[in-house]
Parts: sequence; structure tokens; C-alpha cells
Amino acid sequence: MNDSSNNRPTTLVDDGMIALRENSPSDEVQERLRQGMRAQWQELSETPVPVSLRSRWLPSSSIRLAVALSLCVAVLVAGFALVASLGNQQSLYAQAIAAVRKAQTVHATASMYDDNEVQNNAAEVWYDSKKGVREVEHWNGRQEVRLDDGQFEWHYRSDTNTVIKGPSRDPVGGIEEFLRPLEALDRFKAKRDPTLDLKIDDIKCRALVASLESLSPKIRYIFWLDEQNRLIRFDEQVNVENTWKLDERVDMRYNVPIPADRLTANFPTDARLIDRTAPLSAFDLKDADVTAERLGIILGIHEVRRVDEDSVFVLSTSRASQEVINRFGKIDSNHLGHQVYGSFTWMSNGRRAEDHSWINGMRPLTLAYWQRDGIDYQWILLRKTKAWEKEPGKLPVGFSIHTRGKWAEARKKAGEPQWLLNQKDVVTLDVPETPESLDTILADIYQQTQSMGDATKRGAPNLRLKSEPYSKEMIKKAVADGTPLSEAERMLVGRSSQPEAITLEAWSKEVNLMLDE
Amino acid sequence: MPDDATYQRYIEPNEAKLIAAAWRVLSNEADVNDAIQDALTRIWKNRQTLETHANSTAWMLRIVLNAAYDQLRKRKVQRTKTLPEWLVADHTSADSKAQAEELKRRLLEEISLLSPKQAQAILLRLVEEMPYAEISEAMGCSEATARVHVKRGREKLQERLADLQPFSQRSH
Repeated sequence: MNDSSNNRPTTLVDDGMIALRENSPSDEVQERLRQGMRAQWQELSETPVPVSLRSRWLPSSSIRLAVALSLCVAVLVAGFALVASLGNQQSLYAQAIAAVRKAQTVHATASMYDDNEVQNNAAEVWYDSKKGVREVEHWNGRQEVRLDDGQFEWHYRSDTNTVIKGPSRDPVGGIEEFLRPLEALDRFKAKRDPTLDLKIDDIKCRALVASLESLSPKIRYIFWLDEQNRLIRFDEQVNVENTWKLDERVDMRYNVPIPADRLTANFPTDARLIDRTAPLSAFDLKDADVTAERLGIILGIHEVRRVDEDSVFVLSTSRASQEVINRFGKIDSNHLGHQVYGSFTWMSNGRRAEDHSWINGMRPLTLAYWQRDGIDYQWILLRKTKAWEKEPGKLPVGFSIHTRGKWAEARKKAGEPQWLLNQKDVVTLDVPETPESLDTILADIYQQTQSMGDATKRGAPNLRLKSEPYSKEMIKKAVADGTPLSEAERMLVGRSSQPEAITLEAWSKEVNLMLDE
Repeated sequence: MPDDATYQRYIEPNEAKLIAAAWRVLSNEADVNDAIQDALTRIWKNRQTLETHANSTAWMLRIVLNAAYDQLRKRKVQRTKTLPEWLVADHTSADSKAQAEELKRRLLEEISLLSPKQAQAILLRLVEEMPYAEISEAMGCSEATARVHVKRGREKLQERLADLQPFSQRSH
């Protein structure tokens, strides 16, 4: 049968379909939806979502140093946990945490290998239960170091030559996020295999093997344990043409002396230091200019500044009410899944003019965003605002409000709305009369975002950059994955940057490009 | 197969595609979130299919679009509280943007009135631009059947949207 759609004039249906194909979510929305998907799968499977040992190391994945390096310790703990799990019902994850807290010192090395079993990435961890942890990773010619001494945390990157100092995240507790995937090891059902027993550095080791036969290619994990059931070595091997090839190896040694310089903050003297130890008290609701509450989520307006001729800059936060927090608990940012119980999203607040024609409202442009410890921060530029000032300096603004996570689920079960869309005039902003230049505003945001958060890579607000079309390679990959070429050519990559990874000048240029769109 | 590996292997590489597909139909975060959640639950319940299906991406896409279609039908009932911003905007303006928005609104409304199979086929073919071979894999039918679903669905849509056509272009 012929496809009659190919040889006929364009119809309304075609036009409509083309219009539908042009709909796409913003980067932030897409990221929130992704997080929701992962959180849901996690809940469905009752195990953490996807973080395979291999993928954490691939340079193309968005790994963090801490993720990759903590894996070493994670795998170490897996050894304890694996063995311990044979004898009791405590979860591997719980045992893993307990085992890390029990260790005196640990020295771990980890390596990834290419298809020819040549080492291409490496990491090393020194851990002292009394002094802290230092994690070093080398990949793609770049070095990253994370040091946590229990009071402060430092994060050094050789490519930007920056050291970010933040409050300690607990040198042991910080790895809990990364240990969660170990829960999946429960399912691997590792079995004893005496044929693979080894002597490693004169340590007699027994082998346990967990095979993932259904994967293609097949993968197996081998754990070598000493007589005290401690993990000495872990291998991930891939089966290529019936031969097991080494893909990743972790070696662990215990209660070895840790050189003093490993656990002190010694970074290149010419590195740029970014201090993020300032508290976030400036965002307390009691100090907000104005607040509003919808669906148990509280909006706080913390800064309002007139910009140039016809724009207003606003810094807002959204957070759960105390009642919601009491009911579901405070959100810890290390948790995988929903980072907030809900948020206010800026809307255009468009409305009908007196002559009944529809006039588009203000055009909100996100300049920077961040979610931390249950609070959603948004740095927004509202454009075309003058027409909407009810009286000079009084600007009503609108939002959509969405609940998230457990709070959204509870509302759904109770038959209550989980969201409110396009709420007009939620609050009225007091806009100062004197305008400031956009450059001044951007410089302030840059400075402010730099000082917020902690030393981890995702620990600071994201400065938004102009989206870019897919590269040729990305288009090729998307097409290979089944995306139609016409669609792949239209796709955009959302971009953002942490403040330390971009100069103010470069970010300002990006913002101006977004404003020109 | 461990389920975390399932997610990583099959779903993670397709996250953007699945979200984009639902978004084209629903255009607002809350509805897309609901549709994706429904779809993920269905995928989870049938996750072994991911390993055995000839085209797991197309299969997941069909499930997501089906969930979006369900959501679209619900929207008819709950319109006052679920309409996205572009739907609640005033459409009396004669400018082309408003016309395009009106066309989208009507098109989605009419798609929600098609049979589930016709709607699935239409969305896979005309919105996702999927080849018929893949549509047949996704829907578990022959290519010929997929073409029939698309053809009949399209005819219905064309007929029902006739009132939007300028008078000179209408068939009498």
C-alpha cells in the first residue's frame, strides 16, 4: 500500500503536525522531568537508578570527581557488605556505611582500561577516619582533587586552576550517595569461585563472582577478599569474543600509613581560590521583600531591581512550608530524586488589554538557577515590564506552581490539585525608580552565585548560557538512535556553567545573545 | 537483568526523546510529568520486553505517546484546571501565531477523539516522523495496518478541522 501522505498538497493536518513538532520544553523543565523519571524508576525498582560502575568513569558522562573517587571506597565497602550480607539480613548499603565508619585508614587505587586493556583513567583515595579524605582523579589529561578534613572541603580542578572551598560535607557521610548503587549488588548473587583465587601483594584472597549474563556483552564482577573478608581487589570484566577483558580495577589496602601531606590543603599557589563558606542566611523568609504561599509552597522575593529601560531583575526562592517539611522531612541535596517539594515558575502574566486584544506579558528569562536543600533559587530577568506596572513602581507578577516528590504524591492520593497553572498577580513587586545597567546586575549575580554552595562541582548555582544546536556528531548519534534527521537538526543542547568555570565577560556575552533571540 | 542496568541501558539514552514526545502533545510540565509517570510504570511492568523487543525505543515511544493521549483525553474533562498557558491565551487575534496556536489546540482535541490505535499511529507517524516499519514494530501490527491507521486517522482529522479552513479552500 502506498503512503498517500507523500504526494499531496500540504493540509491543515500537516501544518498542525509541524506546529506540534516545534513544541519543546525548556532546559530546566526537561531536567526536572528527567529527575522525576529517575526518581520514579528508583522507587519502582527499590534500588538506585542507573549508575553502573562503568558509566561513572566514562569521560562523556557527567561524572564528578567525588562520584568517581568515592566509588573506590564504595567498592571497598561493597566487599565488606557482600560478605557480611551472606550471613545476615542487613542491607548492603547499611553495612557499607557502617563499614566505612569503622575503618581506620584506607588507601585505594582505581583504574579504567580501554578495549586493549591499556589503562586510560585513574583515581586514588586516601582516607583516615580521624583526619579526613583526599580523592584524586586523572582523566582526559585533567586532574581533580577533593579534600575534606571534617571542617572544610576543597575541590581543585587543573583545567580551570581553581580551588573551591566550602563547608565540610562530612568526609565519610559524603560518600553515602555514591554507596547507594551497591544495593543493586544484592541482586547479583555473587558466588564463590575457587578457580579465580589469587595471592595479591602476598595477601591470600578468595574470589567471589557476580555475572550479568543477560547483558550484551556479558559483564562479570570479581571480588577478592582476604581472610578477614575485606575487599582487596575488585575487577569489572567484559566478555569480548569469549575472552574476559579487564575493564575496571580497584585495589584496596587497609590500615596503611597515610602521608601527612595527603590530608592537608596543599594546592598550586597560583590557583584561583573561591570561598563558599558564607552562610545562606540572606535567603531567610523573614528577610524577604514579599512572600506568598500556594499548595504548601512558599515564594520569597529577595531582590527586585529595575534594569535599563524596560526590564526588572528579581531573585526569588521557593520552598516547602514548615507543615510540609514536618510531614515529609527536610530534603537533603545529596538525595537522588526530587530536590524540592515544589516551586513557583515565573509566567508572563499576560492579559487582555482594554480593547480586548491579547497582549503578551513580560518575558521572563532565567539568568541563573539552583536547587539546594529543598530550596529552589531563581535569578530572573523580566522583560517588557513597563506596560504592566499598575502604578509607577508597582509590578504584579504571575506564576505556575507545581508540587513535587512525596508532597505531590500525597496530594494526588488525596485528590487535591498537584499544580496551579498561570496564576496571575500572585504578588506585586515594589520596583525601585532608578534603573541600573544590566552589566551591573550580571556582575552582582556572578559574584553572588560564586559565593553560594559548597565545594562540589554541582554545589553552586548554574549560570544559564545560550542553547546551542546539536553538533554534527550529536546529530549523527541521534539519527543512529532513531531520531528523524529533520528533528535532530532542530534539537538544541541546553547549556549552563558553574561560576568558577566561566568568566564574567564570557557569561555576559552569553546573556546578551539570549536577549537577542 | 538488574533493573538499574535496565534503566541505564534502555531508558537513560532515550530520556530526552521520551520527554520531547510527550511534550509535543501536552506542552505543560505537570501533564507531561503525569504521562511520563504512567508510561514508566507500564514500561516497568513489562520491562522484560525491553530486552526482547525488536525496537525497544519505538516500543517505549508508543507507550509514552499512549500515556500522553490518555492525558489528552483527561484534559477534555478537566480543561479548566489543566490547560497549558498557550491554550488559555486569547485566540481572537487574527495574527498568524494565534492561528497556529488555535490549529494546535484543535488538532490535539481531535486527536483525543480518534481511536487509541489511530491516535497512536498518527502521533508516531506525523509528529514523531517514524518510518512505517518502526511503527509496525512499535504497535505490533503489519506495516499495511499501520498505514491504514494513519490514513484513516488523517482523513478524520482533515474532515473535522474543515471549519478552520478558509472558505476558498473548503470542498463543497
